[in-house]
Amino acid sequence: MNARGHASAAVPPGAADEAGRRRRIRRSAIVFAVIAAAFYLGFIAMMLVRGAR
Amino acid sequence: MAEHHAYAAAHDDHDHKPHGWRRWVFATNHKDIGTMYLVFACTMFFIGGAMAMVIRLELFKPGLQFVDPQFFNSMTTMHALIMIFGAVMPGWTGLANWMIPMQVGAPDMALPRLNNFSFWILPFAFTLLLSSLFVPGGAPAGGWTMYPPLVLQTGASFPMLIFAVHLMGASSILGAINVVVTIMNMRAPGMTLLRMPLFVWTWLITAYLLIAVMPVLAGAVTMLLTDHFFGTTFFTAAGGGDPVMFQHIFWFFGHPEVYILILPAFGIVSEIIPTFSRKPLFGYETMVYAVASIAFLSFIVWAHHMFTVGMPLAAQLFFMLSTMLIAVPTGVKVFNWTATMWKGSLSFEPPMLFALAFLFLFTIGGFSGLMLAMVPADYQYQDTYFVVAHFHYVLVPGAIFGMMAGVYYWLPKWTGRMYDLPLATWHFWLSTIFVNVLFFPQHFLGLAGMPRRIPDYAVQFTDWNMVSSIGGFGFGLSQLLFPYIIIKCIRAGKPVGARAWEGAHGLEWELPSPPPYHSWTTPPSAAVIARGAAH
Repeated sequence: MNARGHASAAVPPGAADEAGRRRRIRRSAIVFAVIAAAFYLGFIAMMLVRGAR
Repeated sequence: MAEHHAYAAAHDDHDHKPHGWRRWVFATNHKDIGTMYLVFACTMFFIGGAMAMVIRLELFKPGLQFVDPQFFNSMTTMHALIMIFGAVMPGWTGLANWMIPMQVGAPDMALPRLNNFSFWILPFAFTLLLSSLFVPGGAPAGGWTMYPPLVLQTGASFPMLIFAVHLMGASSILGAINVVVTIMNMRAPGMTLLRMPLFVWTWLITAYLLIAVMPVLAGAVTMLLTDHFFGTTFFTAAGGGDPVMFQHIFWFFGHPEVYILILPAFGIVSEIIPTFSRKPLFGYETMVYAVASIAFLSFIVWAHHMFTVGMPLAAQLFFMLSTMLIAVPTGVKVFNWTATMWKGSLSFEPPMLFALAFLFLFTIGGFSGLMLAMVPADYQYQDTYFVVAHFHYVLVPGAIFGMMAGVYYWLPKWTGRMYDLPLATWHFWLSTIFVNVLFFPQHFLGLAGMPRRIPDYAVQFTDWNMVSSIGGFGFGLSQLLFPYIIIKCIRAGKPVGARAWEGAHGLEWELPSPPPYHSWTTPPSAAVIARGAAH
């Protein structure tokens, strides 16, 4: 358990591994959020381009 | 068993949980959030079901009986939105929350606070949507597909609909990101991708679909909003816009959405059939590839929903053939489930009964889907009750039965108690009989030409509508058994051991029943993982 009372990740072989995993989790979450935003804006942009033609 | 006791003894210090309302409002534990999702989905299932009862009551005989046509159209629209976005999708997310960390040997979801946020968006979204019933002009009545220009004529409830859809989409995207990140980063050492249970695999693929298509729906409804309020003409023909383009964008979301609703059921059936056949799943890897193929194909078939709006012959052929291609990986799955049962030591507890009904009845929905895929035939079937029969066979004995199978399979694990098996068997038989009485006659009505989304109909359709309505009332009433069985199990069920079903494999069955509040704080050993992954 960490200070906020959340379950921490599986017993780590080392603190560096755990920090690396947290970094990977944060990075991959941001990448997927950016992909979702790109689909959202991409379809609106496609319609704007299509309308301008 | 000694191993389970040792686990419990080693981990009892992790079993502290917050109490009172804070446990739920500030929940970050995957089991608590999973429970909240499941309770929410069940509530929405009964609200959406009550709307279905209004629809079947009105259609019991020709003429206008109980509701005016505007309210009837609101009921069909709201029933669909609530069942799809309020019952089935949150139900799957609830099961994902409960099971994925336990099945991959992780202590929790990767992003617990995001998990809390993605759940708590939902009650606001559905309060907004349901409150639209009470505004001037009534609830949205243009169908769940929200086609312009009809939907642009919606009254005061229009912005409520759009904002509610945005909130539902945001919740789904956040939940999907959490699932992908958990599976890719939180698996126990030794839990390789091809050792993961099929439920985890199907959810991983579902989550990718969600991340790709929910933003497309959000983009489409944003454009509807600007057309309505800000003078744009994306979909307004008078200003140079193209209403048919909305249909293309909507179904680019809508067809993968169908697989979002059904893929987790494939995963659950792939867990249950081996358990109650006492045999490993036949063709594990081909199942994974089949699910991935279905997900890929779901992106290139969307226009089969709109053959009749007009498109080039080459496009009709492409979408017809690509749709028929989905039958190949689906056939692989049905073959593998059947082969798993072949020469197995079968027993027919409620989860297996629901899984078998899924196998037979979902296949009926698949076959009628093949009929609809054929362009010339679709010109006859489009917008008739045949379509209603088709997608309800896919979604009710498909998705809903799959979910019920999953709940009956894992309920003893969650509660540590066995439910009333004879009563759950009654629930199965009543559901299966009535679901067929409800939906099978709708094929006949559709083939005879009865249009969908109408409150009144010509007298020649009366008999089968009466039969269908009787089936609907029976199905609706028999679902009341479901929460009763669950509550009875929680209060007075007989305690069960860690492996509640003797044929069950998987990491969740290595944990005590009920599992500790924080499970797998110590990753499972290689031997435990190898035993769990015996597929």
